[in-house]
Amino acid sequence: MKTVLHSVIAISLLGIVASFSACSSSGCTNPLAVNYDENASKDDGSCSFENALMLKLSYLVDNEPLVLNSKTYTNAAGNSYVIERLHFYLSEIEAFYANGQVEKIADYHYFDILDNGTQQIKLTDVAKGEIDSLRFIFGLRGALNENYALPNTMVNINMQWPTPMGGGYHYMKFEGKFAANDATEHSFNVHLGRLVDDSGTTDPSFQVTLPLQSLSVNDWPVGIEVGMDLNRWFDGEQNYDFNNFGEGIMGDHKAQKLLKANGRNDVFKFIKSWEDILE
Amino acid sequence: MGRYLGIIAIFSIIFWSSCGPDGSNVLDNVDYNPHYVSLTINHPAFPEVPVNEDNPLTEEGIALGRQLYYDPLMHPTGLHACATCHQQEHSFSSDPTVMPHVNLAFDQVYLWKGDVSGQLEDIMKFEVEEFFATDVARLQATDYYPRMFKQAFGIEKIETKYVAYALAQFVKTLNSYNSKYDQYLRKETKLSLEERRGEIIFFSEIGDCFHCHGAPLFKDNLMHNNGLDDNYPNEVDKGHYLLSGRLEDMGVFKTPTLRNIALTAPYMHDGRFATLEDVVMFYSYGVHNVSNVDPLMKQAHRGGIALEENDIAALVAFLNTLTDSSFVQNPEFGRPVR
Repeated sequence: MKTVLHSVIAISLLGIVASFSACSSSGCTNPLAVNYDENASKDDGSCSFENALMLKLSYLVDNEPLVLNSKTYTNAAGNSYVIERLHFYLSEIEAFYANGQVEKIADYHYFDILDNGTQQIKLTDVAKGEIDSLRFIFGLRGALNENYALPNTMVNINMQWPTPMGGGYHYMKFEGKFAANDATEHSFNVHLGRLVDDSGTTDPSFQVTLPLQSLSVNDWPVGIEVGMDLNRWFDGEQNYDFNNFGEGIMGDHKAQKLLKANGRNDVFKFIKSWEDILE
Repeated sequence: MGRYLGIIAIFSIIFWSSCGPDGSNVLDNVDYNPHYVSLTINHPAFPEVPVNEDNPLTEEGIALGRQLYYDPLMHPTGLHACATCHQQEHSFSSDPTVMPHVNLAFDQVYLWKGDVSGQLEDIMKFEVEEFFATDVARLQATDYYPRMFKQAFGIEKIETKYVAYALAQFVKTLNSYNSKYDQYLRKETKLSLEERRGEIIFFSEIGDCFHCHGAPLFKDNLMHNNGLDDNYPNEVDKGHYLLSGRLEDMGVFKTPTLRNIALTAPYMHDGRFATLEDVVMFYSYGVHNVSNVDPLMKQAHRGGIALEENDIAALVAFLNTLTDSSFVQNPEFGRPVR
């Protein structure tokens, strides 16, 4: 009987240990660490770091953090609107160093405002030195913007730009509702992409160069935060009025050009960089 | 003591049920040597078929899944198989509540209301354990399933998990990519002028179908309110709200695929539209501009896309090119001969 009792206790203890190890595994929980453990729920202080770079996107409206769905904004044309969704690509994302060196951060990246996992890009083993600017393309160019050029994942499939309008991918899908001049609520779709039709080709992609305060890369992860101010798409040399364009602009060269001009002006801005990203 | 006798009795039943007349385990002579399968889809735009490392595709697993799919033993009454409602001639659908099992391997959200999310194995587990409440003892008692499960998964005691895994393997093979429209894209056939007009309407903001029903799957794996109703007195019309309780999910449903859409009438979650013409009429003139209508329904404030008669006919003609007769006639997907 004593042996049986010991066995029961031993089995119970094993069960307890097993359940603890399954529920609260410890390890390195910092995604920037070289030994990051995505299954770890408790940091055990074992993280070790190297020269890595994280690029983070944040979303603003008139310099204030974006609030989706519930907050009403007003653009330069006087339209009141709420924002529901935003998806877009940046490509040829590169860091420029003071010594002339260039480090490619990503060939392209898909951002979805509803998916936090898409808001940042991590590059490990980044070159050491002083980064003084960041450059990228809004949208996709060249071989990246051909049909099926990107992996056929659902997000890329859902970003396809129809072949009859030029093929490739939407550069951006920015959607919400606005109060129209007829006093009813309408939807707006600010969808940008390379438009090809009988009247010609309009490519609203543009290059952005953002000077940084000098950012020193050594044996430690560093970060750069870039902001996208969504209201800046709608003002510039010419304001964008949803009453004129709200119902779909994929086939509208004028709207595509107007948004490109506004976008390259001041939609993207450098927010901050930090040499100790862990702080 | 009675409890111990009960346990002994259960073990005895399991032991005896797996033993041959001479007392040997009949499954000892069944090999577990699965033949792995790699599915290739000959279409440049299709995603790769997702691989579940815990449930790799095998010839034995697919064959078992097909057997189960057509077997009324799956249901406790013994009267309903998966195929009772998911009929091949209707692109593995039947009445409007039954979403078709076509290209389902690429989904992450399942059923009209989005009741289940995850991989195909997850929805099949729901179907086996909750919708059908399959009694695996009935499968175990046959003279063929124990052998088939051993060959497919190396198990002797059938579990619902492996029933779901086998079904997932079979359903992963139900891929449609050989419609007239696919053949047209491969330059193997031509579309009529009317069909090509329909293609333009579909893939432009004239009809604006493609944002939710984009090629090649003609679905987006997302859920939307498409302006079908302006109030919701009937539970069946409340959609994802019934699961989430959030008002913004009222009338929100999963986007159905339009592949083989001509074979799956009537339409919408409640079958309110008998024909494709009725559906296009709704999108033209019947859309309700409710507060949570999806922003992609950008003509909702005027009732819809306002297609004229000729364009409605052209769009329907295009939708008919999405029928894949080779899929609905493929003998590899039909009722198996055991």
